[in-house]
Amino acid sequence: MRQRLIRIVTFIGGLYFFLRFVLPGDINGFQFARYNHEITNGFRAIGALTFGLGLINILLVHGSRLLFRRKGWFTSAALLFGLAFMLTVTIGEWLASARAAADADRLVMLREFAARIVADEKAGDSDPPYATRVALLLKNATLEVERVDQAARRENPAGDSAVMRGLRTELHAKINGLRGGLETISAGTAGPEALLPLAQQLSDVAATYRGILIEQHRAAVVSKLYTLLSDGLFMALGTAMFSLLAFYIASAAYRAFRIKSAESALMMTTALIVMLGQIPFGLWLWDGFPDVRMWLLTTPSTAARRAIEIGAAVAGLIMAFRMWFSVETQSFSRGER
Amino acid sequence: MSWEEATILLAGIATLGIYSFLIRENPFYRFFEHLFIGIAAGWGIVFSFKNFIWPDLMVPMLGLDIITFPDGTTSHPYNPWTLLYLVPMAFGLLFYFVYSKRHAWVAKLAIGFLLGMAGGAELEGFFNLILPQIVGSFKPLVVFDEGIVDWGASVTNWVFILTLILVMYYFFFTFSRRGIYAERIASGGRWLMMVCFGAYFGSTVMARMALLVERLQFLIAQWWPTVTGVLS
Amino acid sequence: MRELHRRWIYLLVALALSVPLILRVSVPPARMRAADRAYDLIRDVEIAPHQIVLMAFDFGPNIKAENGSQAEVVLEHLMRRRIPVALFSLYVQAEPFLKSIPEKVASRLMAENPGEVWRYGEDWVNLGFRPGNFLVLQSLARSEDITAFFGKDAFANRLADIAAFRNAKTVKDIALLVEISGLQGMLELYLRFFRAEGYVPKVVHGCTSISIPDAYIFLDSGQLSGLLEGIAGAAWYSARLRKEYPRQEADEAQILNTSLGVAHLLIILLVIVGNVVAVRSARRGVAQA
Repeated sequence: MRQRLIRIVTFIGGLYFFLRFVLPGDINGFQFARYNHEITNGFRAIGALTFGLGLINILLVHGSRLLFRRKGWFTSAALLFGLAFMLTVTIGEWLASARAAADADRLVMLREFAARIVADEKAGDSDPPYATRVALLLKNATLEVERVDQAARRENPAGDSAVMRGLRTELHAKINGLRGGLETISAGTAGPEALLPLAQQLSDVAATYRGILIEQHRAAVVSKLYTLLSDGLFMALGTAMFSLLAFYIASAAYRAFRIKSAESALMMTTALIVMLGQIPFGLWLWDGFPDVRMWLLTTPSTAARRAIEIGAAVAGLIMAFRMWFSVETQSFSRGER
Repeated sequence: MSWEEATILLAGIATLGIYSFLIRENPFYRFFEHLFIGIAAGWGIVFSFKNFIWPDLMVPMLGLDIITFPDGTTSHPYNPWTLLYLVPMAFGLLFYFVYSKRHAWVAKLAIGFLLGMAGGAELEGFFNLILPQIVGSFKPLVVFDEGIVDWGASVTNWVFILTLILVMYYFFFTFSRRGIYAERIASGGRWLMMVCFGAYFGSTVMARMALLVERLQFLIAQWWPTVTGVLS
Repeated sequence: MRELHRRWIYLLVALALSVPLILRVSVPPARMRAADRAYDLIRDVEIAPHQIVLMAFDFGPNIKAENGSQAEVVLEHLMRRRIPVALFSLYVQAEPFLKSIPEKVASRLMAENPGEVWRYGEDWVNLGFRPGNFLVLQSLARSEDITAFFGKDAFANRLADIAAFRNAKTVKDIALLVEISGLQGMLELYLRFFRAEGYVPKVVHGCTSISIPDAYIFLDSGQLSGLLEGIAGAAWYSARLRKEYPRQEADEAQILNTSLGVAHLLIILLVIVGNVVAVRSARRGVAQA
């Protein structure tokens, strides 16, 4: 029963994408993939929910080792510290940038409000009355402009960048323009067409103010901490860890790459030409190396690699179908039979 | 010391910590190795939530994308259909049954579903990827350039097609190869594959060295001047 | 004795790579025809006001040396041409690069061109890491409103309010896809699923050196319009960029490439010496027997 249920669910899992590919886009007016975005998000949600598995596993393995002071507890502490530091900094950075975005969105909200008032008025569907809404818009826009003007004046203690200086000048000009626009509009007499330029001005101020907030965020402590984490630790450690391979390949070149047969000689000769064809010094020996390298890569190498690719892709397709129809269940259900 | 200098100094110490492994395995290396694993593990957790679960699932479900205007009206009404996202989310939680000895099989429903999804999507992927490969392999065996036979291009195309056929033949195991000619053809395929593997090896050297040169450049051009700058 | 050998080799490698870096020696790179194709395409690409170029940074710190250099030179070219670029990734470990690389390129351009400004939101936009693998690509390709599809940028700003992106409607407004990755199968993912009815994007790919033979099969079939082959491809691209936009500062990609050239010569030498030593040992062994 359990096996049958797993097989049915596995089959259902692949049905949507299969049908979407084989069915025409429009079947007598019915669009099969009309809700593709939402359905895909559903699939993504299932996969994304696995994020906790890694966290739980790490806490189980390393947390218990640290808690009971088992062998290697110190390195487990380093791992958990790295995890906690990373989570704290990235979440902090996220919240700070979201706050900044929400700040600029207040102007965007007014722009959309203006657009809504115009649309409703044109449709004859203004509730509350048009004049009341315009008055609310003007009042809020005036308050918002002053708030933005004050907030944008906060300077970076370390000095402003060229981008920031440019943005401040731009914002100042745009705010003056908006103030002028607000003064010319009267809630009682302004028609819908007068609100559209105002909406555009609000949008322009929002765009520049957003730029200032992004620059301010870049100079904030939480952003610097994020850079410390990403550049100072994550990238440095990751790059260094994998760069150890350079030493090992050199060691292997000396100890392991033996030319023992005609086939290995052919392989090594090709490798030699490819190497000389891609480095500047190869040109000193013979300027034809890059062209020969290119021919080797585009002709015999590409043809051989393509033959392998086609074979592997056919095998992959068969395997995928075996998985989909639960024919290939041996590795999946081991121990259940 | 500025944030930039602190970042560079820390990156240099971390790099040297990893390189200490070249002398021998040591606690300094192990510390940085585990620190990296911890940071790398956290990355996926935060960004899956920040860039997908929150904005694409939670925000519409909670109605946080609705803007309330000063007059109390809203940008758009709440869409209750977004609550349907709870179904796949609940289904995704089945993965956590792996921690139950008794009900571990339930996790296989979620695993099977995702495997089935990959299987069902493969057909589209196969055709989009492989058809141009097959079409691209039909090369003219005699190439004309302004009415004259281009011998260089023609020979190249012959080599290409011959290599393709021989290598495919080498991997053809559906029936047994019998006879001296069959073996020789397969052996020809193996020889031509050696050219391909040689190209891989030549390229691999570049790939591996590139990893190291970036770190060395950092240590020489950024880290060391910062160290001397901070100390002086 | 074997232990001693190992450490001597390590030292030789470190020296071979370091000396050109310390002396800042720069030798013109070997010509990379595939990178030429990428360069010509980006030089000539015409962008309508509603169009953008999509750059996918699908690499982590482990392959940053090659993919990072490629990302920088291509992004520099696009920024110099004032083509709006949207950056995103399917690989979570690329998230920091989406922020740092464009900032680095923009700072360099502004230092080089006083009075000119390259700004976030106008010249580039960071869409962040998008989890979901092929699901993201096929959904994006079929989306009728890609601004709504992405929703917000990596800093939680609505894309509809960002100048670089706000006019893009469907995937057909993505004039060019630049995919930079050394991850196994990542390029194939784009070739498989990033296409819609009547739309197959032009793709420029930056690969790591180890995956050059893999990438060439797609260049030959026309699925790729240009290819940057590892750091050598980045160096050649950078050399062409310097030729078109002459600037004073030293070209880091070329210095790195020179350093790599020396390391290649060392590897060739090690293979030869290793084989000579092996043959001699074998002969000595036979003689002693």
